Amino acid sequence: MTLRETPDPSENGTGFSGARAMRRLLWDLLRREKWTMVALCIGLVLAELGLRLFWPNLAGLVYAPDMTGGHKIVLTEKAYRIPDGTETAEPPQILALGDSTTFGTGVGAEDTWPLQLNTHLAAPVVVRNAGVEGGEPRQMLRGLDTLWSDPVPPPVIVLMVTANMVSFTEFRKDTAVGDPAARARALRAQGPEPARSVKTRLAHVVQSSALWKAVSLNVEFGKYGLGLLGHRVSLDAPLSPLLAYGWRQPDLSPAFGPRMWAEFESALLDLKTRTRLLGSCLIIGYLPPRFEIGDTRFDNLKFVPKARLTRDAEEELARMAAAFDLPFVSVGAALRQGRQDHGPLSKPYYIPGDYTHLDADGHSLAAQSLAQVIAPVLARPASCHHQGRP
Amino acid sequence: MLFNSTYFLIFLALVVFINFIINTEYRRYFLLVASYIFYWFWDIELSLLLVGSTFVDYVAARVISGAPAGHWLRRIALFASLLFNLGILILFKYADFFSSTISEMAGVAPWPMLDLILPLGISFYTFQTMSYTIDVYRGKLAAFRDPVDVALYVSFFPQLVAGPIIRADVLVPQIHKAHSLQPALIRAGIALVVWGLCKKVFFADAMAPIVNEAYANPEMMSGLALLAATYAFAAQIYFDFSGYTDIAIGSALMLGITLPRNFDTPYLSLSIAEFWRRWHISLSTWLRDYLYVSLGGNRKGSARTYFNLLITMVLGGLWHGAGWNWVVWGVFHGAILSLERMIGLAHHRPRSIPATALRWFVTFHLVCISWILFRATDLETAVTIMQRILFWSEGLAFAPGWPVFVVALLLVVELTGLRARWIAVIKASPRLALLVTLAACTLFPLVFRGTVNVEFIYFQF
Repeated sequence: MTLRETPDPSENGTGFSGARAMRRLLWDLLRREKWTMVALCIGLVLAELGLRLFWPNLAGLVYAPDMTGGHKIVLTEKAYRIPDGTETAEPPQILALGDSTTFGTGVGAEDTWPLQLNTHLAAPVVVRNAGVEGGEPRQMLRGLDTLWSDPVPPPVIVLMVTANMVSFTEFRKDTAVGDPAARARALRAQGPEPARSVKTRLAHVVQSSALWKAVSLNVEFGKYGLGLLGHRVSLDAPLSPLLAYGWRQPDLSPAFGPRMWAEFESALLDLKTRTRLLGSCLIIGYLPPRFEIGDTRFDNLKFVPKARLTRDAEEELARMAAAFDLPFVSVGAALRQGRQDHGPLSKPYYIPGDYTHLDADGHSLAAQSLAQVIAPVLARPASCHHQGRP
Repeated sequence: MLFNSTYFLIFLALVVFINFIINTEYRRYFLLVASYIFYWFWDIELSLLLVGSTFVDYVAARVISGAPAGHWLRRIALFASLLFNLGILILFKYADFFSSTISEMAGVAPWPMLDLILPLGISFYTFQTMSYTIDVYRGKLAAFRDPVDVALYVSFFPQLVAGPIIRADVLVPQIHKAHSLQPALIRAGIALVVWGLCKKVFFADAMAPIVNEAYANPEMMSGLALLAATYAFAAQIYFDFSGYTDIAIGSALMLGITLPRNFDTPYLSLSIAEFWRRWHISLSTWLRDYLYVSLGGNRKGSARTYFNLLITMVLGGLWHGAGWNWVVWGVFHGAILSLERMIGLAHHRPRSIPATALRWFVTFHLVCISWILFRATDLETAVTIMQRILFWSEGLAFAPGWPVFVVALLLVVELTGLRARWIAVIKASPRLALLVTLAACTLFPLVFRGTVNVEFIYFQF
């Protein structure tokens, strides 16, 4: 190819210069391509409407300090997540502990598994969602000591474990334990309608668009597919849910995974000891990441190289729960069954673009699975310490 | 400023826009300021080296030009220019290598390790400025009167940090020429920038994690994984460097300046001599014109020609980096170039398809062997990688399908001449150019967001 400096014949030899020429170029372009622009705008509007019609869960996914997936975050003084306007002082009969999957990142408070439990229990009980984003067992232990055992300890405590939580336990072992109520205080301090700048409001409008979400998610999946984004664990900050699955990386010591699980086991033992002292029944739940519930590309949109996973986190946790004589239930079985019954597009069970956080359907399945273990414990508290035995 | 960043896309659009709306007499000053702003995104202090290089070469060229032929001042001025440019190059790039090598051999370090930051683009702009004073000394070029011409020649932002290394008599007259706004060239520039970004972002950066992981831990990797990573690197370095060059040429074209091409389907070469005529053309012609020819070229008999080839390639290797792997890389290429010349392969084209295929296969794999020396952190690591591939060692494996696919795709793109077709199509259609621009301005910022912008490989040279 030869690129010439002489005026191009396609421009009829009208090489022109200066500001006037630039204006003329832009004006000519707009004039000549006005219908292209109009068609483009109509195409964008139609795409947005089509996506909202066929994939409504893509729209309105705004994330901000006081919003998750477009849902307002309301926390009580004790850091319980509740639907807006439902604050009561009743102490919980079931206390749900966990990380963002329990807190309900991406879904409304009423759709989280703790608040859906009553749908699957014979008689209604007071359930409190004390999930903390990025939470880990030692933080929950602190919450039990300072917040959630007052005025009376909850009879049933459910700890929903995720691979992220196991990773966080190791990652934060040398740092001070965070205060679970800190975010509640900050959120309550800013009032019901926090002031938002024009820029923030504009960003929320863009984030609410289904087309924007579809494009940005597909770009992200494309980046994972090409390898521009990967799952490599940084040795300076080793934090990844894949570590709980025995992630193999040439420069990562093979002893890292076992050490991480040992750290989690130690933290879980502390939590168990404390709940026994409180007279509560601790139930362990496990929520697998999406790539563990199906083998289709839709369930592994981030291209997790499963050949590099050398450990079954679910089995590991089941073994641990049995050793500690704790009731254990994995949501994995229900999710896998759900996947067999429904396609990954009709019922994804996870929020769009996420392999950790459940959508409302996923939370419903989790509540259903947990209710099967919680119901007998509620009926006969003494049965708590015999369910964990293999 | 990295080409593969949203900042650059905004910067380029602004520079192109302003370049055509200001008066012609101010364009040189504007482009000079824009070039320095481009460099300041990386470092402000080290841009003083650019200023120093500009000053020394401007003065040296003026002295050479002003002194009568054969006058001693001409030699002194040339010597001063070479001393300054090679001096800063040696100081920043080779001082630690020389110190550690002498320390290993003699047991005493002649000077302590300096651990200096390698200024961005130093290898490129020093070679470029040296060519200016040498050309003035050789009488091929008259020294520029206006220091702004020299300053812009040294710092012109599209090719400042990784070439193409351009001669002063090619660039400066174009800067002076009254530019006219030619939409077709703007469209061709857009096509080249988008093509280069696609090469860099979608293929070079996609290969980077595979290469980085395997080459950082060769003892843990299987022979197959290391072979796959070597193919991946062959694809990565081509897409990375030629992608950079396409963006550079495209950006300059939008400003009305034509830069020389730097790549001409190098992986389709049937000999190493041909490879060097097609790969990093601006460096190989620089080495030919200012080093190989100065050493005597092929005018002093066969033995001297082989020696000259070897010296040229070793210095070419050291230009890339300070280390024994670079020396061996240069020896490897110099030896093969000499061998090809000895047995007459350099200018002989095979006639049958099987012979062509065999020549291509051998050449490509010789290049891949040299890439091991190029990419490995040191000679010892390179030897380990070669051994593990050769003995098909056991270790951590990963599927080689993706790198092999990308190499195959590269060859198909080269064979079909897709790049030229893409440019021709976009150049001819304002509508397509508009749509491609809108798509690129939407897609690339999304791609850059949340990912580490991987620097271009040649930025480290």
